[in-house]
Amino acid sequence: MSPPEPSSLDFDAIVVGSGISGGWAAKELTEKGLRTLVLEAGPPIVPARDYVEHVQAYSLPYRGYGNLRKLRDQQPIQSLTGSCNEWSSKFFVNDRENPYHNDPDKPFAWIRGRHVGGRSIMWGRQVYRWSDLDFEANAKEGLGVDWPLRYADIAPWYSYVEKFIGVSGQAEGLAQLPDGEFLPPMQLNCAELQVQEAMARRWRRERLLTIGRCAVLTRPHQGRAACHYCGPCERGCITHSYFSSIGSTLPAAAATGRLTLRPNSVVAQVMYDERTDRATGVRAVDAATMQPLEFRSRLIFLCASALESARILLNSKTARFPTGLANSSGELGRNLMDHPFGAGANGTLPGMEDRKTFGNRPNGVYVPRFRNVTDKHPQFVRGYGFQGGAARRDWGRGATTPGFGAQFKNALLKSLGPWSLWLGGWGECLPRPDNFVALHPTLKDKWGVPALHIQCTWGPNELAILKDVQVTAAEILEAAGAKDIETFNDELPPGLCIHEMGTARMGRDPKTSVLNGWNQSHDVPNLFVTDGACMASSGNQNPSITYMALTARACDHAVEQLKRRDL
Amino acid sequence: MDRREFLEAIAGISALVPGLSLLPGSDQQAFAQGVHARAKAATNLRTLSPQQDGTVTCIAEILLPQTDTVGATAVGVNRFIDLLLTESMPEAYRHRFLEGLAAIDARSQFLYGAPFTSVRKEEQESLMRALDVHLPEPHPTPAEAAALAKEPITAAGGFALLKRLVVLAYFTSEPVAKELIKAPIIPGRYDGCVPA
Repeated sequence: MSPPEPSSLDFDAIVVGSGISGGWAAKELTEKGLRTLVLEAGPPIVPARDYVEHVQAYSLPYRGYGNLRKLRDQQPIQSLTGSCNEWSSKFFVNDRENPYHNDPDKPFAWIRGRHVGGRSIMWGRQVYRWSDLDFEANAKEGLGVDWPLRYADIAPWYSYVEKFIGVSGQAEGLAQLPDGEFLPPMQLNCAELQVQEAMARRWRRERLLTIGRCAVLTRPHQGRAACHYCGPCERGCITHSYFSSIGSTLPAAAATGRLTLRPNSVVAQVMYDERTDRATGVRAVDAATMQPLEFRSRLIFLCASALESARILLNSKTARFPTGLANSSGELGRNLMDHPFGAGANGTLPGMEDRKTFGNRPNGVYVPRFRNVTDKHPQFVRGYGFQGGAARRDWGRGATTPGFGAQFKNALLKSLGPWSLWLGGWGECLPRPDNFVALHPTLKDKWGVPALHIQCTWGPNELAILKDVQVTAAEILEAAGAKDIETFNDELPPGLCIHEMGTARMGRDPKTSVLNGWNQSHDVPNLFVTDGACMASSGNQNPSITYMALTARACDHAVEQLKRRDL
Repeated sequence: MDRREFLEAIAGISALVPGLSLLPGSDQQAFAQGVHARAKAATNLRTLSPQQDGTVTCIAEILLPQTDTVGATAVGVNRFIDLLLTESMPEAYRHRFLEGLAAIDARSQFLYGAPFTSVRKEEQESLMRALDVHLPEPHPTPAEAAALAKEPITAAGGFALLKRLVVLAYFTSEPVAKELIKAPIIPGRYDGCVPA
């Protein structure tokens, strides 16, 4: 092996990862004056070349059906998620190059994007604040560890982040799902309005339906154009109308003149100096040349995703930290969570056949959590929110609708199916130390970095939630007057919700948590972890906005400490 | 080469097929039959045998026939299905699909004494009506789906697989998507309630 590339560069800060969290760290640190190096494991994305949201099925070799043989060979895990398809599979990793291990009876779906922008390119864009119902739950129930912060600590940071990224939504005044800094909401369609009214009659405000809150612009914002409603955001967006780091935070960071972005840089380890008790930089491998690299800085931000950041720290063993850097608590890699989902109900709403929608709304409806808000459910703690929507089916219904011949063809060409409605639950997952990741003893990825062994199963609380989800979804459909109501549970493995989190949790006590209330390592004060790894509980809300707010808050704290020479 | 020969020759170059709808109805039928005959003897199919292709083409055209708008044959549904079978489908899928076609022909043989392509139109439609009512449940549980996949495929199961692919192949073809469906690619706005 050749010696490491001599480090002529010296940085104030290194950010590992360029996605939702890393982009925010880059923006905040550079804007606060720090010369910042962002290391991204994968290649750059060039929107003009790589974004394919307007490419029609007939222009693809397999018209959206995909090359299943190739997908199953190269991306058998990634293609479990619907957004890894013939258009967008290039935004997901090659599973052969990026192996991990789980016991066959404990499947875990690890869905990843390795390129500049990370999963902010193909994320679900749903944005929901947490409340003290979430931040206080662990303490009240004696589960996991108490969050070292409360809603009041993060609320201004939610606002700060929302104002920059642009979030459309409807204020509802709910304590359990605080309102944000909203751009105008997208419209509910006629069928969804009918469901909303029926729910209000039956449950008043206990169960209410609102338009999804999403990081998609409904008017021009921060130099980005409003959504043009083409629909398939996961294929990219040439107008940057949904939030992605490459359309928003990274350009802001670059504008400071203090950003160095290095793609194709696979970080393997954080370097640590026992004498000063500080992280000194990172070791990486150039993904293209396999050349070993070293970079030094005063401050390190890990934003590589919950599992990647845990992997890097587990792979950074020292004499003082024989089980992984910053792991004096023994909690590094533990308490892995993901949201249980894939259960709910669907049905048909009669009537309104003279109405349809125009445009492809990249957003659905939301029913905020109503379980264990004011009452106490006998079977489970915490709760879930519903996502879903109503639509009239197009020609696709022909595949499963009886009929053939001229009339059948004309109906598919010229008319739409009845309004169908579906609701699916996104549930909270409890932190359990036996859901964990560890370095695999022999398995390595293409770049020689030890792969993870992942063990994660749903516990009784998650399974009870998925049961209740089906019952209450059906109740809502029934109240709305739906026919042919059918409940479903796709029995999806953990990981597939792509909300993995918890592997370097925040907490008040260094003996039981990895990070303090500022996302700062209890053990190594110039090391911060601000991606999903930091989460002490999972809530049931889509988590990205919380990672963004925590990242901005952590950057503010880190720079203050640097100025005071505390680091 | 007259106009019809020309059109037949370019069948499969889907971008040019919309021109077909300019033909008078009788010409269109003749055209469809001509393509049908050619498809039967097609040598450029890589997976479907002439007999399998005949069954696919025949059922596809009955499902989505040529009318004042293009039908399944004219947009090359059989060619696209052959492409998926050859390049995309995992071996188990492909095997199941072809077994399904064989089951349909076996059913036709049992009922009418000849494979699907060789029986009368009324018999074909009668068999399709019988098979059509067994479309798969929209939401089988994972366990049900797994159990179903292990059973030998029935004629109804084979028909359901074929129908799914025929619908996909037809409606995603360029002439149909571009000239008939005409969904705006950049709508520019969302309206949740407009006249249908």
